[in-house]
Amino acid sequence: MNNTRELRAFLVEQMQGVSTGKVNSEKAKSISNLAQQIYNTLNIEVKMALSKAKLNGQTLDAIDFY
Amino acid sequence: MLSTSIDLTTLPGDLVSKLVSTIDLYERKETKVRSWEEVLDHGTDEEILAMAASECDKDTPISFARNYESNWDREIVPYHLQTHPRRPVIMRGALKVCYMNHSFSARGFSPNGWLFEVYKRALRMSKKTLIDWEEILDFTEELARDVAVRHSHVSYHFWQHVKVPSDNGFVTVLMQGRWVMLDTEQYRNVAMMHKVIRKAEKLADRLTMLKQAKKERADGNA
Repeated sequence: MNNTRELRAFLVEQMQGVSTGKVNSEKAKSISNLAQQIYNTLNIEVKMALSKAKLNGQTLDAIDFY
Repeated sequence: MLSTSIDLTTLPGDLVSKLVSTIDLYERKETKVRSWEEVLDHGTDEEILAMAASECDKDTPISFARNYESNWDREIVPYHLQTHPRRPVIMRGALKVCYMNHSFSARGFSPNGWLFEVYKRALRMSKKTLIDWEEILDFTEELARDVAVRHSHVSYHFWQHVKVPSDNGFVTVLMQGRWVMLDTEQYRNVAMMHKVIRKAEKLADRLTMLKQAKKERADGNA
């Protein structure tokens, strides 16, 4: 799976699997949780990219905890 | 004209009225058969078509059975004459024929049954996947309205049939244009997957916009 289109296609396939009874409840739950996590990761990446674009060449230093 | 050898005055009133209506009905049918026989055997094509038109609804497309190779079950003439070579029939493919072929009642002319078939087909062809009840209701109501609006005499029966199917203990969803009943657990899983799909769509849009903006900026700097 390389992009959101493939993620969506996969999820549609799994939804159909649920409707035909090929995907049981446990598997469906795991898939939906995993999909949500993949989405969260992608969302953070996009937000990062947006922030970088807004910074317009400037950089933010990492926070020093020491 | 009523003709019977029974002495009606000796019979109870309600029985007399039943007898009279039965005989009257029989005589009317016989008269109709005789007049059809007469016009089919000796009438011109125009006379046959005119009589057929008087039997059918206004604007019903009528043709002759001889124009069709196979047997045609949408007859206009009485049963006894349905093998007559000159009999008229309702034209194949006509809307009225569709109405009758799919009628909810045995010999009905109402469009309800046909429109329900059209609605089912439209639903299948939409290939829609909807999980949210409100969305399902909005979509199906709009679809049913679109189907019904082009036809007159659509009644209660059509609207009863296009209601979203339901079953106790199950949740109804529309999956690829087909109704699916899911238990609560599976419904929750499917709803979550559907939510992620929608959110991922929005994310993809944002990503495209971001790429576009980056490209424009790069072009501007060059």
